[in-house]
Amino acid sequence: MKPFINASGLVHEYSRRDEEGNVTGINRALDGVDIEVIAGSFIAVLGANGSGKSTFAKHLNALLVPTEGTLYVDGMDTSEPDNSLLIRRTAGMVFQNPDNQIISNVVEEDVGFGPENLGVPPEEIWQRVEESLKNVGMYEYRKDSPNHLSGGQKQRVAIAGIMAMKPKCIILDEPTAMLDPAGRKAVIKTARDLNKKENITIILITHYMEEVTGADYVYVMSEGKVKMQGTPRQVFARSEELVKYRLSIPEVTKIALGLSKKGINIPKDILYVEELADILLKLKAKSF
Amino acid sequence: MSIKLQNVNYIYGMGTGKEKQALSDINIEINNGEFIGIAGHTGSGKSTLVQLLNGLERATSGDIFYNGQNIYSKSYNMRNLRSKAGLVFQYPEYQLFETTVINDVQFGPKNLGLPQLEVELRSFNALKMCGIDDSLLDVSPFALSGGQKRRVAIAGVLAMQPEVLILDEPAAGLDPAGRDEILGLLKKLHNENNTTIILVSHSMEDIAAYVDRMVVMNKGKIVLDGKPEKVFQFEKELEQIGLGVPQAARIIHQLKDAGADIKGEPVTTDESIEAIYKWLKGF
Repeated sequence: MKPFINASGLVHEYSRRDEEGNVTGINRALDGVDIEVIAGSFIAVLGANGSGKSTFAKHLNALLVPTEGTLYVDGMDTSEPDNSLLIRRTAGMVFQNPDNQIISNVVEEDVGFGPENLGVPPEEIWQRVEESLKNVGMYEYRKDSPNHLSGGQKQRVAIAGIMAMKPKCIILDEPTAMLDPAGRKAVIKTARDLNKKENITIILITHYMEEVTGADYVYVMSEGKVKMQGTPRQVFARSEELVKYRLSIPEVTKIALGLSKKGINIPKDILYVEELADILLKLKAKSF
Repeated sequence: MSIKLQNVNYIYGMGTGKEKQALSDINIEINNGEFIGIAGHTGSGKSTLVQLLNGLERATSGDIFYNGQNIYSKSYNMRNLRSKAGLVFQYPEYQLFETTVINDVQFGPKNLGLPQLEVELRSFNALKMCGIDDSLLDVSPFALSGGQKRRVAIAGVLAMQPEVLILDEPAAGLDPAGRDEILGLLKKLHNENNTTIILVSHSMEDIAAYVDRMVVMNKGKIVLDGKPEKVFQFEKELEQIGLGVPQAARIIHQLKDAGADIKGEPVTTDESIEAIYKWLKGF
């Protein structure tokens, strides 16, 4: 099967400039990234601040183009300027700060802004707005002002705005960094639901370890390179490497690891509280 | 520095017909040298509360006492309060503005009218405390990494030598190692200088690991107040108001619900590992 996203030897260099605009240095933000994403999968990209993960996200949406190497999104070469509009329609992006992404005074108008710009006929716009807002669980707020929403709700409205453009893929660049626990949960659940029900490819960029446990596949980036990859279990079983890349593992995985170090016979790749509780209760029952 | 809030109310938009009560009848006493965490969902009133503590906003009614002195009395020197109660806003690195790191940090103490030597001494100390290397002093703050910028911004507040340090989500947006660095710095300040620290955070894990006392806000009221291990016993209540408990506490609660006889109320990873181990071994 042809991958939906195919990055091969992708390099991005930012030039540092002085006050006159002369180039004073080159900063290699992406350094030979190879990533393949199958259509319909839920992918997570983990990485510390400055690891290159947001630069990678901007490439997926053709906001940046490769300095070297190639990136294909749904078969389209992102370095081809003629493709950029179609790529942005195919892969929608949700950013960290919800306040920077909302433009209208009414929720439903904000969601309709995208399809309107695409030249979608009005009747269909309203239909898409309704559908998208229902999909993210914000339909009852359609007449409200976005100012009165919480951060998590605003972020879900931003996702609905992307959905209304009917993309095949949504890229979420640290969508929960500014949210409270309930907001975080709601946004991640929305992304999962869209992936499962609408078969939308999701690329979640984050440094909250707990959010990636449900992903199909995880890439770990550091210094512009992909340093680790695998299923969440495979990646989180390598905690020492993750720490080296300024990352961590979910608390529950830490507890399992700690118990294992004390000689308890327990798998080191546990991801869920329920899972750990289950294993521990069985262990305890056996010891009687 | 001790702080006492007495029957404090705060209403936004007074007289506009769209009044919104952000704080209602807050009574709390924060003792000198405490490390206190404030949790609450977006809009629960915690940011309003910290702005009152620093004198940025004035309570609609009620009184605030610093070391027993009412800050709303006419004779009270508000300027003095702002130098003693340092406030670090969310994303403080957005407020960096000077041409070099050292100039940015000196801006605060300079405005206090201190002699230049004292200004420099305080600035160097604050930067050292925040782990900013001397080689970065003359660099533009905008050339630093996200975590470094944040620490320079915090150093700017520390250079004022506040007796109380109030921080609104200081670790938001930082990677796990960056979070540990910032929170470790607060712990150090608390331990070495006995600075009173008020930490507003959405991360229950961070609160569990660092603070001595935890205050939970909902709809402008304080609903829970106590040691983290006590407050995190209210898992259902916390979830109902959009918060939660750390995974380390959740696992213990699940085991206890299933009949496990686990001692104590662990809330951090290390505590939970220890408690589970003892339970498994039948100690």
